Amino acid sequence: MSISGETAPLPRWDGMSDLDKGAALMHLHKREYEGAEYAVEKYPARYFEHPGLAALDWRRASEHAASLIDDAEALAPEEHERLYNAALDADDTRWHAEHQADAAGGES
Amino acid sequence: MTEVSPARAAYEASIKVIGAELGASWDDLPPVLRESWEAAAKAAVAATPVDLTDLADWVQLLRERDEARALIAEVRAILLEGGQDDATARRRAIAASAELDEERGDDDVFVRASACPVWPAAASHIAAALTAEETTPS
Repeated sequence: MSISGETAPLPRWDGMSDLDKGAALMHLHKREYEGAEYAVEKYPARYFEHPGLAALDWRRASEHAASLIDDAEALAPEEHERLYNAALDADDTRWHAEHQADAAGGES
Repeated sequence: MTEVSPARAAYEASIKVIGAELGASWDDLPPVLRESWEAAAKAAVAATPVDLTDLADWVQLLRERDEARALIAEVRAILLEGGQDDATARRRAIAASAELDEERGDDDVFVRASACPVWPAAASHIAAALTAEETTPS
């Protein structure tokens, strides 16, 4: 949300970074195999880089990712795998960083 | 509300129970454990003779078992055998889980535990434990 109250448009596929594309792919994978409801509850999209995407709450982020299904399906398998794996690694790194920070906070 | 099959419901329930057993929220579980448990649970649901139409029984079986933590550790150990890192193990778990879902179209089984070479040990262990509880006289 801008200071004027206007909402900046969220980037679509072509305007997204590789990591954010991968984050969308991870969520779409879960939707395909686990169902939309379960995927949103357990594996919501969590973007990494674009401030507007990263600031979305889990439900809106998942809706955004779901809207990219056509772009995801148009990817070559090799490119899909590259983006997906990059985001998977980043997600693991983020999880460990967040939980190390939580643990450090709990010890202080 | 999406209709959920009994097998699917049992699998989702088992995931919730394991979280309760660990005393951890879903977000607290490392991603590799979330996804490895999901895949093992799918395989176990397919392999166990427990009447999956009675979800309460399934949940009770899991709750009564002391070895929930050991099962998690075992699944993780299976995933990490060969010294691979968590990210690699997670990829294997995701692939196995997806493969198990692909098998769901078969009529003979919800999933075939033997379909994924990564999972038989964990799935067999879980299924055997559940079967033993079903058949052991009290």
